[in-house]
Amino acid sequence: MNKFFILFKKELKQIFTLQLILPLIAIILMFNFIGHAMKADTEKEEKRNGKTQKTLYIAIEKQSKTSNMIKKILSKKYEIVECGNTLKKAIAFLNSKKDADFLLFFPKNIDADMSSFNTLHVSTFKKIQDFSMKGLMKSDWSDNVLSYLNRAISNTIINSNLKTKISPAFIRKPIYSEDHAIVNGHYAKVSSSEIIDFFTKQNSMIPMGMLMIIIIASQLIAVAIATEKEDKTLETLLTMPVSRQSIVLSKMLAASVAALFMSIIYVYSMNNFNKNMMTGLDTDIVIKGGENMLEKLGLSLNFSDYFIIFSIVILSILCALSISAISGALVSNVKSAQLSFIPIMILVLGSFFLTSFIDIHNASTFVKGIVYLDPFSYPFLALQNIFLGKYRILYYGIAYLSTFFLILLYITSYVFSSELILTANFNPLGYLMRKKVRVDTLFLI
Amino acid sequence: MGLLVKDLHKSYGRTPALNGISFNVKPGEIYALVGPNGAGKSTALKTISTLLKPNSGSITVFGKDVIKDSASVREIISYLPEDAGAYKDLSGIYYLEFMSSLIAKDNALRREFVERAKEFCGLGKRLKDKVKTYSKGMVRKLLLARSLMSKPKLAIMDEPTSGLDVINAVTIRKLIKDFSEEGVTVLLSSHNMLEIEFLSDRLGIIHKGKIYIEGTPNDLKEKYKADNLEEVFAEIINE
Repeated sequence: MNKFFILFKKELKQIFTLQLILPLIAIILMFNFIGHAMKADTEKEEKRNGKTQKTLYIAIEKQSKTSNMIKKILSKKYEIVECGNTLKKAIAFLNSKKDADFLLFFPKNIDADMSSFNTLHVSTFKKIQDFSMKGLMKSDWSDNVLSYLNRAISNTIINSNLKTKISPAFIRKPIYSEDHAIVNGHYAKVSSSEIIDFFTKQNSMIPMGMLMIIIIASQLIAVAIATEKEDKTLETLLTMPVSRQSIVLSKMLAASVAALFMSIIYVYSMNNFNKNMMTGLDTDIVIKGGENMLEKLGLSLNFSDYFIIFSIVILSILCALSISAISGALVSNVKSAQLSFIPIMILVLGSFFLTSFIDIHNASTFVKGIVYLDPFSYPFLALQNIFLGKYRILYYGIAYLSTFFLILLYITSYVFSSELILTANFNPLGYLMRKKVRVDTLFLI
Repeated sequence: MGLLVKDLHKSYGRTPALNGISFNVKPGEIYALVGPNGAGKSTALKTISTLLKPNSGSITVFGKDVIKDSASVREIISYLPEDAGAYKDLSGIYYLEFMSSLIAKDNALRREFVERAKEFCGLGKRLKDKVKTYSKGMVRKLLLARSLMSKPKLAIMDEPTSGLDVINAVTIRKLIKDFSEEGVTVLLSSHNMLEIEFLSDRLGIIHKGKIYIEGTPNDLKEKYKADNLEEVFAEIINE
């Protein structure tokens, strides 16, 4: 067998231990369990709502012609339950009912206001029973009640007071706008906020997966090399008839495979969790009238797009692995390797947050410079650059990442083929401590 | 000549470690470098093992130049570092199979190496257990078996019995001696004068990066009119 594959197999065997696999299984089971529990909860609620007419709790301070009209309107859509004629009684009633979460209170002056065409002032009371994420995601049906009531009253007023054939809907809203989104010259009948919302919900997992691959793989390789140094297994390996490039490349490849495996599991679990959580919510906004709005807007990828994304992702991972291999080789022990990994983590997390929260195309030159100098920002920006047709940035990114990687590879090769791999003894913790002592001394002076 | 070291200089930055050492080891001989801590023993062994590059001087192993042809030298040597470990999360047998795969040219030879190592280390069924469950003595036996399984032309061993109890140390010394009798040339370093007296055919006393004296244990004892090598060593270092 080729010596590279012998080394690669050994690296995989060292990485894929029970200590790594058991937490991964736990993650899958945990996300699956939470997702299914939430799905069951939503389905149960939907079933309950679907079976019976929704009950609406109201309180009317003084019965009148207007209150009767309102009751008549509401009873067409809801099962009305009156809970007293004072606010105190109504709230006590609402509290005693477990399922009641909304109360509509009509004060005594609504009849007078209606007669003089003044705005009717009513009060709503909503019972907070759930502080969880699920509670936030429940549709606020109380808003629908008021909008239905407003529309119905408005129609009644228009019909009885204006002698015209014009429909009340036209009077209420003479202009109706049909939203369209334009991306890179393509347009489709869908609002821009719907498209952005869809991407945020559906594609947030991709950068998360990228972030995980880079961080996990970098940490794995830095720790693997530092462990070999600390245990002196590296000294033995370096005197074997095997090329030093094979030793470092086998470690880099094994770390990438492990990181890819872990990221797939993470993204799969999170995706499953999200799908279960979104049950019952409107996520299918991109299909309208049987047409896929994303395709119509040119927001789909062809083979060359995939190739560009793949190249950028691979080159970024290789850059991260090379930096980690160098830092793992230059430190004296595993603790120092974990500490030396912090700068990479800052770079990767920095790129992730910058590219997630800032519109880089309209940012200042300074911010753009920082983002484009950081090799880890390119994978996070790749998809949006493709969709916006900014291919020049993508090609520049590939060229920049290739150059960056070749320089790093040269340094890695140099470190591994020189005696630096054995004699370098960089201790970031010790360095920081020494710095601290100097600061203390200054204060003493 | 098995090993020929000429005027070897090596320094770490501005700190000199070797100040022009020269010695040679004949094929099948056991040669020991003896010296106090920081004398330059480990640096000398690491330089000969191709791990460090000398500032000047020359080293040849069975005619192959260590500096110019390090890849060929690695084909015929084995190196056992001081306090070395094996891969803790792998089993002893996997470690031997992995190491033999890197040395052996074909599967038959690989199996032969593994069988030999299994016999030398004497770990029996424990070879199937992970290395992290082994005692220090067991790990050292495993590493020694690894270093000798291919019967290298030159076996370089840095403190082969350091930190071991008497029983384990005796077993390991016997193993090294047996191998030397089968034709393996051995270069080792040690603090233990008893070990040197038992094992080595010749020794060189190294101090401050220089070899002060060379000879067989008996020659040195006779020259310094000493009962044992410890007295010889103390006298030379105190001179």
